[in-house]
Amino acid sequence: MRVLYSVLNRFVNVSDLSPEDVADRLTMGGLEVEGVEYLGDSLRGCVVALVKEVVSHPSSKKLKVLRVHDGSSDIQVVCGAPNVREGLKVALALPGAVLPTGDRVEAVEILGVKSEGMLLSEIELGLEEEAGGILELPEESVVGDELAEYVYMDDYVLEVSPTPNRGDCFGVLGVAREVAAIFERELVIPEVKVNEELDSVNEYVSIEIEDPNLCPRYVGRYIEGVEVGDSPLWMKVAVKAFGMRPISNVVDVTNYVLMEVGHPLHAFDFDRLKEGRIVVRRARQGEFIVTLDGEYRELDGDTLVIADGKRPVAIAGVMGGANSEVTSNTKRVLLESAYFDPVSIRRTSKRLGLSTEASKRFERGTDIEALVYAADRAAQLIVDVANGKVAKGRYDVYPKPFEKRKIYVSFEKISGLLGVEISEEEAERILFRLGFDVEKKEDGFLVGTPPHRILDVTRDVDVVEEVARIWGYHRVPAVMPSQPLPSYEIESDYPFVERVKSLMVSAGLVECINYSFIPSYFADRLKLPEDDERRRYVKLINPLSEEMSVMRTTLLFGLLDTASRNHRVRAFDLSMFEIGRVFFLKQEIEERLFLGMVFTGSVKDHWSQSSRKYDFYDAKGVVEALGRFLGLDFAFVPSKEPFLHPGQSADVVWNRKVIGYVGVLHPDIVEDFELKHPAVVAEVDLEHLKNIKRIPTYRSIPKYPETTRDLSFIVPKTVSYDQVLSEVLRDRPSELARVKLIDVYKGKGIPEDHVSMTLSFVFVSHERTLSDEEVDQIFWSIAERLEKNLPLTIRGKKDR
Amino acid sequence: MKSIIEELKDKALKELSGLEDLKALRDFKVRFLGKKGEVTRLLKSMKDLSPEERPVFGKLINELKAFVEAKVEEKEVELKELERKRRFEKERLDITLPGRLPRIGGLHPLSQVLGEVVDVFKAMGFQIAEGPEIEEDFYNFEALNIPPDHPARDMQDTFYISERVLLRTHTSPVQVRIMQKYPLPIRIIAPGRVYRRDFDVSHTPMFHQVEGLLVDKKVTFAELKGTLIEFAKRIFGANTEVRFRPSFFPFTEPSAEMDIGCVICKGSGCRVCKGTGWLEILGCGMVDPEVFRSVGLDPLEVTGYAFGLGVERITMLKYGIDDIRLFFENDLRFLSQFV
Repeated sequence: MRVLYSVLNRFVNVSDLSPEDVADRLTMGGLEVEGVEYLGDSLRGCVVALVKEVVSHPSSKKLKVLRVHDGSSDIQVVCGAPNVREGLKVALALPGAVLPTGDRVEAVEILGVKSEGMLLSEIELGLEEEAGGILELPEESVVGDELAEYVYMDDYVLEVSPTPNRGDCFGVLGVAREVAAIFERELVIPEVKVNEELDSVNEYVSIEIEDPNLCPRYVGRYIEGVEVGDSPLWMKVAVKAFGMRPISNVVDVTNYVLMEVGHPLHAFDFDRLKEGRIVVRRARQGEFIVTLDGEYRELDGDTLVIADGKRPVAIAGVMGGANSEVTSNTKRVLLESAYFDPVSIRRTSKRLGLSTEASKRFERGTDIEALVYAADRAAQLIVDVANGKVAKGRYDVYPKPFEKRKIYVSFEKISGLLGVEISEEEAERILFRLGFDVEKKEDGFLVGTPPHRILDVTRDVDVVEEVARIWGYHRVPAVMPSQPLPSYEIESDYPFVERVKSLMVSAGLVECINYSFIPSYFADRLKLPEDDERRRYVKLINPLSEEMSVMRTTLLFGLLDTASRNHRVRAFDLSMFEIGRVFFLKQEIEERLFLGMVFTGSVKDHWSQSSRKYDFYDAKGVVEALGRFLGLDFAFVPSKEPFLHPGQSADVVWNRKVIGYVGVLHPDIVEDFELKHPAVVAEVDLEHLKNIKRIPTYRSIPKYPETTRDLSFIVPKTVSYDQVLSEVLRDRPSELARVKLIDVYKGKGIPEDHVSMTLSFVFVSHERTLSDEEVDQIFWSIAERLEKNLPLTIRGKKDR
Repeated sequence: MKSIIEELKDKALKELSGLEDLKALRDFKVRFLGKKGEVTRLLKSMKDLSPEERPVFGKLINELKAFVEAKVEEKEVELKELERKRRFEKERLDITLPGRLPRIGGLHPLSQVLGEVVDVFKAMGFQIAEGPEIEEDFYNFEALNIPPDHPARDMQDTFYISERVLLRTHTSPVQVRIMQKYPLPIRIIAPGRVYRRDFDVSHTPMFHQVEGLLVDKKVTFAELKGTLIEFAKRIFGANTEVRFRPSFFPFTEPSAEMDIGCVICKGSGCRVCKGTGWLEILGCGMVDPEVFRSVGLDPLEVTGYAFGLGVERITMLKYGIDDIRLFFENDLRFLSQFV
């Protein structure tokens, strides 16, 4: 909402205040001012000048060469305007001036004659597309003065952005009321005296409201003998400054009053209204209208329309119809000033996808009482600028007159909610200036809400806010909460997530955050089978795009997307993770906390070592670390995930449930995501793990020394390490403290399809120091059992 | 004889001074002081002397021996030092070569800032609460005093799953769920992902919020101010200017927005603060009576305050990030700046 400072000044004296100060205080009172603009800024370098001499252009019949005086010197200007003549005061733009249209004025040569400036018309002021000639300034204009003052542009605009509850501030009057309260000044509403020359309005018009719930009041003013044409300069400048386009005097008046009073008006061409009457009613089945923007719109029974005797002539509160539009031929005008139900207007505006200056105000609630003032003001302005004659009185259909809402607010409520005492006198004064009735009772106020705040101020707390915001939030002290702390503990995932994140970071992974929505085709791209749970995703009704249309059921898609995006900018070496929710569509929607990771490229190592590519065991290691971190033992079994390498992938199993996977990405997927290097990925459903509380079990540290024995053996590839290990740990002797795999080797010296493994055994006793013989005996009994139960060959056995 | 001793002493000194390593010193020791060494030979030659001469020369030779031994010891210390020096010189590294960094990853900048925010409120006794990201209309709107057809629904363009189910547009629904479930006093913050249908330089369809709620009897606006000023000073520095501006939210009354003095220009006006010298940080206010009513609390008995802040916004201001979309592109060139 653009507030013209001179119009504001009509309602409250701000002439001694700086617009910046008014803007600041309004903002601190709750009406945010986003900017202050000086209109004259666009006329810098433009002055009042006097035409001293006019001679013909040597090589053009249309052009003239002028000598004009700009207050300090005479300059030569070439001009083609028909109305240019000696002795005329004109608007001169000097070289360097940037005009409201954005054009820059330069000294130029026109057909060989130098022109050191430009005389302005309404075109250059940005008011019109065509003009009959240059601006003619009044005789009393002072040559050499800045132009702004003479064209009504020595003025400011405050760019106000009212919150949704403040429909009243979508007009200068409402803003003025705020200024009056904040600066403790008087709000002046200039009286309008309509010069009524015709008979009573009832002689000309009839108005009927069929649905008073949707239209509780409709006021009509009848005006005839109007001469539709251009508005005077002051009005054009004002309308433009308000952010609208000057159209014609009658339309400009309705727009001007809309901005001034904040109440939308509509002017009908009365001669185009069938039967000369207005019916406010719901649209009927099959009715339609072509609105002023030229659109054909079908109407339904939920739409309130203004109809004449036969058909809709406007969509109530939203936009007028082309069939009753004021044109240059219009002679008789019916001026509408009405109140429409906010919810109905909002629904209509939404349904039609049509938001207008009028609908914006009606849907926030207008002032059902002030609409009379708006009608009178507009009628008189039409008399003033379009020579109309107004019928006596208003046609006012107002079945249920407005009553102020009475709200009781106790002084205790005010101080109790704010935590500070505000004097009764100050509070009363604030409410009064904002337009509320205030009746002082023993322990509080009985407050009457005026019509312009009726939707917004309905309870005592609303009144408290009114007082507080004008009194000043900055005057409320700041104190720390005095309430006791809760005695209960609220469970949340947050601490667990934080711990897992720090584990991932210490494992060398960088956190990423991907959007929760992914494309619906993700499941196909990951080759998920038809019955896969991850295909039961939640769909958005109104996604931003197909790429963001379903809620993720896996973190993998986002992670691969991220890897791909990084590969595109040649960042190939990465190890990243994400923790976040995935969403499954079951009987109800289920949100589950997942951990995902992706590794691509090379492990960034030291210059002292050669680099290596990330492989299966990098990802598996991090998953194992997660298990150890939580005190859990995960098992890894071959996986059937279709997006993984069949020979290098595993399902993560815990507590007999598959809780995730780890593996090398299938080459098809690598290609599909345009990854430049193979990727290793893993994903774990943390929902199974997040409530596990790990309490470490303490055992005393052995007092006796440990003894180590290494065992190397050759085993066929068909035997897994897991098989070897479980054989080792079967009937585990109490002296065996730990077993660790220290080497796996294949290649030279090892038969085809076999590997050599070396296990390191650590033995210790809690009772005594073990002798070498004892250790050897235990060690070899394990070794022999291995050899007996598995097809393996122990190496270096002869050492025994 | 005397001259022989002197000669030998000179010789020993000369040889010693020429020695360059410990091995040569050991050889010298054997040659001079060993069983077959020159000093021993000299001692043996004493048998040819007269009994009167013997003790005199014996003393001289012993003196010579002690002298050489002392010198050898001295030399040994010197050479040991020298050898150390040589070894250190040989082992000298180019200490400017990069060290062997442990592979440490990094948290996303949003996680880092969220962590800071959470820590500040935890220290003030707030507990963490969470709620679903896919929410019911009731919790996201209606219980928060945003009925259907309310203009405030326009403030938050919503993603819908069905007519009554949506992606939460703020973490405020957690307020409602907690008030339904727990007794007073309540003192929570609710961090999490939220969603709005908006996508440009300053909006992403997903972002992060932290909601705060304190409910009890006799909670005041003054306490809201106290809490949030403390928060601002801990996050943006002790000298941070703070102001509260009246505003509008359907679920609070009175409502306010908190601004801090612009962190970029320190209040003189710049592009980031649009010349105002102030930056909007969060919205807050006293819990609206309608919200209490919707969870079955009596607004005559109970008051409370609530606030909500955007993690992205605070992160952008803290680090001077100018495009919110960067947070979700996960470009390593961006993320690694915060590791």
